[in-house]
Amino acid sequence: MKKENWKKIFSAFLLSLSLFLVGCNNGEETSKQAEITYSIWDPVQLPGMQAVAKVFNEQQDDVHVNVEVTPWEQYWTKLESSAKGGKMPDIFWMHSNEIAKYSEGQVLMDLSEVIETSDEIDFSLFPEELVELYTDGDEQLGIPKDYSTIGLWYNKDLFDQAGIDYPDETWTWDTLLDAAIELTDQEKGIYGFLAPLNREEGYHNFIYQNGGEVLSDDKKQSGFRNPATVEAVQWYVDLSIKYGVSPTAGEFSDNSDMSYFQAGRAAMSLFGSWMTAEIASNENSNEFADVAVLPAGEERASIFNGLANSISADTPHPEAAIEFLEFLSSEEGMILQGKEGGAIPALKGADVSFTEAYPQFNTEVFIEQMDYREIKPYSKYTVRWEYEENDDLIPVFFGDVTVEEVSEQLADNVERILETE
Amino acid sequence: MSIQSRAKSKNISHGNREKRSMMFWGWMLIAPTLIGLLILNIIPVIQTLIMSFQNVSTFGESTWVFFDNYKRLFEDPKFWLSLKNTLLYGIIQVPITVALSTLAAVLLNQKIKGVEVYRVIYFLPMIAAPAAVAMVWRWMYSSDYGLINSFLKFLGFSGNIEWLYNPQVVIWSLIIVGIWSNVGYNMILLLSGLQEIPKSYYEAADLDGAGTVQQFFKITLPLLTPQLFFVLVTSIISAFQVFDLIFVMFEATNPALSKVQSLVYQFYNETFILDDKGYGAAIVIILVVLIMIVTVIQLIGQKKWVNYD
Repeated sequence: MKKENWKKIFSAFLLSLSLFLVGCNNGEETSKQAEITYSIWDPVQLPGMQAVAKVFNEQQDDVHVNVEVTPWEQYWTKLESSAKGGKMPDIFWMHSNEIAKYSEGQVLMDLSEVIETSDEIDFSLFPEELVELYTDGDEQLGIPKDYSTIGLWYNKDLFDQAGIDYPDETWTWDTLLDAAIELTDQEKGIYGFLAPLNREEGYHNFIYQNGGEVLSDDKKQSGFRNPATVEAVQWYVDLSIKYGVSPTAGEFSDNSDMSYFQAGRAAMSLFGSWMTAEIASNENSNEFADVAVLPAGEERASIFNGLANSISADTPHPEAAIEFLEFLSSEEGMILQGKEGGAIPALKGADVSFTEAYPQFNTEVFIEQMDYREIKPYSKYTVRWEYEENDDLIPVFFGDVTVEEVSEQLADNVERILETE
Repeated sequence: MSIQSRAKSKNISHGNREKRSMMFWGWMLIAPTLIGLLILNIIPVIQTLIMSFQNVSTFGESTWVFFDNYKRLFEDPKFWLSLKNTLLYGIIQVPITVALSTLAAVLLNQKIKGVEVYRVIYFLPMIAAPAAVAMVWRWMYSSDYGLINSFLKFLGFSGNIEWLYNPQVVIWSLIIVGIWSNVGYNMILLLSGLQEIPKSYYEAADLDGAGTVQQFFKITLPLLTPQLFFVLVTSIISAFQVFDLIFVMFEATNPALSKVQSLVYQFYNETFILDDKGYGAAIVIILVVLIMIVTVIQLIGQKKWVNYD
């Protein structure tokens, strides 16, 4: 080929390259309005977040908020690499499993000054455990956005057919087990209760109800050295292994607990408040489902947790992000969020807006349970010890060994991780 | 200097310049690919190697731990289990896939009505996204309502196989999906090889009275060995890297997960779920070394059986 041709090809290549680069550069500001990104992971909560952003965008002209959803599986990978590249979203959701890492990495803005000076935010109205969760020393790295507790969901139709009274606050573990035995109908493939290998919406609740613990207060020891913990988990496992009122852990890999429940094949199950939207979205379960407080053991307890909104430490628009965060944390913003029914707003007083979204369910119980809430156990490397706990309990849920027999090994494995913190 | 030699030296320098400019354009033209390879493949590989000797901190300074990650690997029963699962999967899935794709390629090289339709059908699994494939198989494997157990019942078997959670069965469930999704692609590669074999060989064999079976073993198979070799090498590499099928078909709470978990799955779990990137890097480096050893053995072994004429 002639040289001239190569020149043409090369200049064409350069031209397209420069076009590409120009295209990349388009993110630059075109007007004085600050564009900020609000990054979240839950598509179910998107309507609520968009509702807040919409009102905020209309109220003023200086800041425009774009809400961006990234599914949970990719959310943390993406946030981590964007933090390393200094290109984090301006404002985003933070979770108790991940906060330690980001706090150590010093990539989150300290909000304590904002909270002190703001007229919009009354920090005393947020659950104190959540406030503490997102605190590092004297730095406040996130403002609680919502909270969740766990409820006992039940199928009214199945209870009516069996002629059993619906669960209420008088229920204990024994009432639950008796009812579950009665409601189980193996021929029809109907189970009285669902007891999958699940911590937050499962056996962790029972551990605290039995006076046990998952981690010691100083987060140095595993609670599995405590007989009350072992007893509670064994009781939970026996629901499927001994009494057969629940599908086995294996059967749950065929069908999730939610699909058992929505298919009308389970009379009772524990689901978090964040699953309310999912239950309401299915025509059948929207009709037959309702929710009650968890049954009482030695005491009452429900695992509780919550997300926070955090701001990137090096956002190019700190004022804009703070302004939006203030709106998110204000009563108006919290109610806007709650009315869409994605999650229970963290602000005391605004949380009832969530219950208004679901007149068909008795969702007040989620707020009621805040009286005996138990924060979801966490430490610096939560995910790692949770993984060990899960791994060691698998043979227990298979019925091969008892909780007692693995508790020593489980505690050792968990404590080995706690030691590295 | 004489006129002649001056002319000669001018010629040489002209030649050099042309050569240099050829070199320049050569590099320019491969630059897009080369830069892509460097940024997306080679640099990350080197970084991974470095990370495998470190205790990696996500935002802070990583510290050198030298061989600690590797030492931990050799004492980790989960690593040995993953290695065993990966090897078992490769050893069973690859030969069956290659045999079936050869068979399919030979059958679809015949003059049958609607041969194109069959070819498309066999190739379809390759086009479908692996996650979607795994999802559909998950439904079919369901022990209660699944298509497969229902079909087995229809045939008169008990049909109560727990495809997705019986620890003895799960690896076979995975292998079946692995075979199903790879046969089509390999078949197309082999088919192209088959079509390069001159028809006259078969005509000559016919005249000499060789039967179909004899023709297959004496003509088809030897002349197909270059394609077979390629298919074998790529199949083993991709089998050792099995991940997406496991990830979609078996959830993290599945009690039988440890019986299917592959090296790449463990790498993913350690790196992205448990956030232990140094340890994850060590796992993946072991996998790279393993694949390299197996591939080198195959490259040496090919001289014995691959026919390039």
